[in-house]
Amino acid sequence: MPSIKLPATIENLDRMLEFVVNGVNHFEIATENSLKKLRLVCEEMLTNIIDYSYPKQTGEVKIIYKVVTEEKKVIIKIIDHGVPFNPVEYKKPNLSASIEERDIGGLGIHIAKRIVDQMKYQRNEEQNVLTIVKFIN
Amino acid sequence: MKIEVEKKDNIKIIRLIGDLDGTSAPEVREEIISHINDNSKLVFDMSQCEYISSAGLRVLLIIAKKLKAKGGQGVLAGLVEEVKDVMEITGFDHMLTSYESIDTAINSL
Repeated sequence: MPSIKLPATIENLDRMLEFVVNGVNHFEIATENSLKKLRLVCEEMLTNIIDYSYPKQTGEVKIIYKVVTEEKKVIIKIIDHGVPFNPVEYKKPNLSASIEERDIGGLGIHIAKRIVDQMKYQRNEEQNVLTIVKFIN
Repeated sequence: MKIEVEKKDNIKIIRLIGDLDGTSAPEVREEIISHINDNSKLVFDMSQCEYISSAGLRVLLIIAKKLKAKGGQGVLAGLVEEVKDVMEITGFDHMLTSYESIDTAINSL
């Protein structure tokens, strides 16, 4: 399965996203809209790791993807060894608040959870292992 | 992302061209904030922005808060389907005013 391991920094975000999106696009089964959604999910989850996973020093993030062509779906694993964080259980932000009351945070995970078809979190050997399934037809 | 600014009477039309994502968001925020003065009237032409992430939404929220604090007004125009989807998922469609056409947006201010 294709994989990439990079320092979890904002400078590497585009490279990480290109790795997944271009890799999946190569199979020529994903619609343009589903590729954009895939990119969005990856951006949200990776940005979260970049921003919060390593508060002391920069750590690494590993991304693995698998395209199941017959089912037209992509399975993505995102692994970091930063602070434990389970996005699956993350509380939904208040989406009906006004401009003044709106909080800046929490939107990304909410977006990702709404777009994916499955999201699973495991804490394994001091690593956060996030598995995402997204249909691409 | 590229930003173009056009002035029509007392309204500034800010054209966002490209992706409003985690990479472009900090620069876009600084650039747009520099156009906000007391009672500013801004129209954001989003017809050439085909991708927005939460980092982009945060920029829009910061701008909306800033405009409100300065007695200004801002509306969005020409949102593409993908961007509309993200706005709906996050409830931004209820919080920020948007119009289909740029002209309608201008006339609303």
